[in-house]
Amino acid sequence: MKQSNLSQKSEQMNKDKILENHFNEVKLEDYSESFPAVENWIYKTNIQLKNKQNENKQNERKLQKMKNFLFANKLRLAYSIVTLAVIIATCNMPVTQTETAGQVITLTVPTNNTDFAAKMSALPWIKNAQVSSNGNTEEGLNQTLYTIILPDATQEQAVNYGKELESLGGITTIKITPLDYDVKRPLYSAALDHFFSIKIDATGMSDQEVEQLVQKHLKKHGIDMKFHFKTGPDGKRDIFIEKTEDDKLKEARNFELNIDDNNGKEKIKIFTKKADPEQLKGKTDEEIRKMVKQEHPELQDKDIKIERNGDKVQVKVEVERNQK
Amino acid sequence: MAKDTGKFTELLKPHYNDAMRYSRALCAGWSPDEAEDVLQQSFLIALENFENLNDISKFRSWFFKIITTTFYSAVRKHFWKKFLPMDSGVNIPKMPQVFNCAEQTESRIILNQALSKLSAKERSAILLFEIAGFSIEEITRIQKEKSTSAVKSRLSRARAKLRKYITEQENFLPRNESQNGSNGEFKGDLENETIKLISEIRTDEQR
Repeated sequence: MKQSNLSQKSEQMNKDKILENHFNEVKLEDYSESFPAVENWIYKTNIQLKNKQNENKQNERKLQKMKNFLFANKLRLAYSIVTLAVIIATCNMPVTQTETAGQVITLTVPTNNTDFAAKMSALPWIKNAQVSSNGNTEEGLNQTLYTIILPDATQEQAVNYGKELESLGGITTIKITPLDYDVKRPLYSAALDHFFSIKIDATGMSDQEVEQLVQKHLKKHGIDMKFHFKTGPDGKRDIFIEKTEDDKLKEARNFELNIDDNNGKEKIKIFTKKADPEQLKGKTDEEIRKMVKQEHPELQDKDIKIERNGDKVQVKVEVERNQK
Repeated sequence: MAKDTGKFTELLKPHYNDAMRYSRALCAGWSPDEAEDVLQQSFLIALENFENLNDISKFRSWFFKIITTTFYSAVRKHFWKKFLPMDSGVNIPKMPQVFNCAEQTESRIILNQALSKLSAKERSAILLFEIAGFSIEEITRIQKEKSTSAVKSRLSRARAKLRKYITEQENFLPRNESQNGSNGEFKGDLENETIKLISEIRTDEQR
């Protein structure tokens, strides 16, 4: 049987009333008890958001400055790109560097000095050298020209070997020349060639072990510098850099030494410079100090020690650092 | 981030109850924790943007709009949220429990079930109208609709669906209103139980 309009309307109204009752019940829910706790949470949260926003603002400011600078106009952006390209190109530009591969000792001995060759062969270091000889006539005298190539030898070693050869007797002339060769490498590589970094984890090592390890690393790079370590009663390790009397720098080398020791870290940067002795001649202590401070303004007068022995002038820089 | 937190809470206080009722009903079918996540996210957005609210007389609709949009994005993320936690980027303390202590009645459970059958926009429209008391024009703005007719038809569809579902459930339940009143109360976490199970429990209790 079909429902009348009135009946349909009444049913609809009834359903609406039921729905309204459900919504009314939701409207009766009371959450006001939780408001103080939520209010407290809002205060706490807002402080954290404020801190976060300050951090973000600082980062944004830095970025904004860069953006403003670079993107202020197209010309500036183009200049920036060109500058960057030039820097990259310059760093990769090949430069020629001269490196020493060893030393060459050339000496002449009268040909009638037949003992010399045998005496020379008895020298222990000659086994590692390449020796060649040629007959030659100089000023009417028959001479034998010996060429001794010493690969990987330093100038200092070559001078000592030369002295040993002279002590054998009968040498007319002797000459020591470095065996140089040219290397082509990018500019950045050339700049880094004179600087290297050594990393050592000294945790659990004795003072002697650390000393040996440092010395070994330095020798590998051709540096003869003595480091001395001493552990104090507080467990802190003091580092002393010793300069030996016969320590002559073959070339200027810069390096940094990073030592990790029981969660403590120490970074020592050492710059060595081959000084010209003539440069210091006739200079007063004050003038020498001024010269050193020009290059290292962080140094104080007490750090620069000048020792004079007759005409010889030796400049030492000693800086004591207290670990914090 | 609100410069004046005091002002924010002062403006929030008169609308707090409505906002909580709306949030909870909006997240019908979700656990109290999930509903609190939506609420927490809404508060964070509101705090961050409070400075940009020029006209404080519009605070109520502004705040409800934030809850609504947060709920929409939560619906989209709801599936992935099971695998990935909602990350606000800062270590924000968890907001206090608001919905766990709410009492669940049979009527509320039926309504929740019915609401969960609606789409997010339908649910939001009907709740903004019925619970929060917003006009159709205001709902149009909150829901970012171009015309009121879209909201009107949405409300109509939502009502029809709710009526249908609730009537079915009312007929299905063996209710005895004269003995138990119209609002037979159920205590405990019964929200996720089926209507059938509730009726069985009620029958057992009567015996």
